Amino acid sequence: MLARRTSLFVGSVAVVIALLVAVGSVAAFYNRQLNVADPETEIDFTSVDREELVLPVIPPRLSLPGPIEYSEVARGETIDAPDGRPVAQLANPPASLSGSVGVHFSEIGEVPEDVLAFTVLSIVQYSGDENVLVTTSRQSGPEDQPFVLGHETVTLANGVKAWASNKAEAHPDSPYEVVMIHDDLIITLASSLSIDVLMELAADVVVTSTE
Amino acid sequence: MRCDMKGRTIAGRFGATVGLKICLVVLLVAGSLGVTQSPAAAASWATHAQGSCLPGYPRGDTWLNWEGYSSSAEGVTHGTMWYIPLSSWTVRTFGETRRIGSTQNANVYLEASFYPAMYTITGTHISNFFSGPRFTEAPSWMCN
Repeated sequence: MLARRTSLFVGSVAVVIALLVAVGSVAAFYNRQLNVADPETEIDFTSVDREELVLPVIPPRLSLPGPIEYSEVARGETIDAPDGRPVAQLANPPASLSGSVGVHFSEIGEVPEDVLAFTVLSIVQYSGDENVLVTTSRQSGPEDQPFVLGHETVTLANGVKAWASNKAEAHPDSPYEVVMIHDDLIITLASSLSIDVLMELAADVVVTSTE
Repeated sequence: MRCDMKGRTIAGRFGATVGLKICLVVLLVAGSLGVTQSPAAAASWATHAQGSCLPGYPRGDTWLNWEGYSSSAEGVTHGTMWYIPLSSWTVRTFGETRRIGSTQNANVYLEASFYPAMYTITGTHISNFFSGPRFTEAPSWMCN
């Protein structure tokens, strides 16, 4: 009888520990510290050996290249992903974006763990006189590789740090971009609208998720 | 050098006009030589990134080039080729080039074996003649 109770106790403890480890691992994954550098950071490369020089990498615009199919969403409706993945969106789209609202949920594949990668989870398109894309992405891969998320560090009206870029060479139709971090997510706003307008919109972004 | 007409002769206005024209030409040539030999010629630099799938595999380059700086001018380019098989922009390959000299090109050429996907190249560029890193991104291209 005693042996059975002891066995039951040990088994329960093992299950609890396994659960704690699993929950801890998931939490650690989703709360990983992004190794983001500010683009203005000076690098004293002349005193550093070639082998030791580590320059921050800049990813491409975090969106999907080529034509994207969107599912139309009722204007004013909060967008939730069917699988609970995070969706960044504008809380109150301005009157200038009074056209349709569409959402795209990307097909997510396997990414090698040892390679730097940025997975696009969702894209919300706001139409109006100009279009605005709000993209939600997540970084994976080596944590010791610093990267930057824009050409210039800016601060939004709500005090949140962000990075602004003009990428006319690569994206002539929507050259302007504002990027910010929300937990472990990278949120990108891209448009032909000015950086100032995108910064105003970025301060209005909310994220839905049931992860 | 003076170009006045005080010394003109009886050759008259025709000769004076020719003399004035010659004088102006001499002045213009001298002026041009002066500009060409100026030690204060403007230095310049530029960055770029590009790529394509010709001839059948992804390849491209990103560079920082400069001219007219001192011989100690130094620049570095770190280039990364990315591809996006489904929805993840993933590093495919990368490289780095460091150059020193008054006129140089820190060019990183990248290529990879064929795999059907969209590709692009980004670059990080630093130097001792401008502050902070500068960044480039090539228009994405398809390999299929």
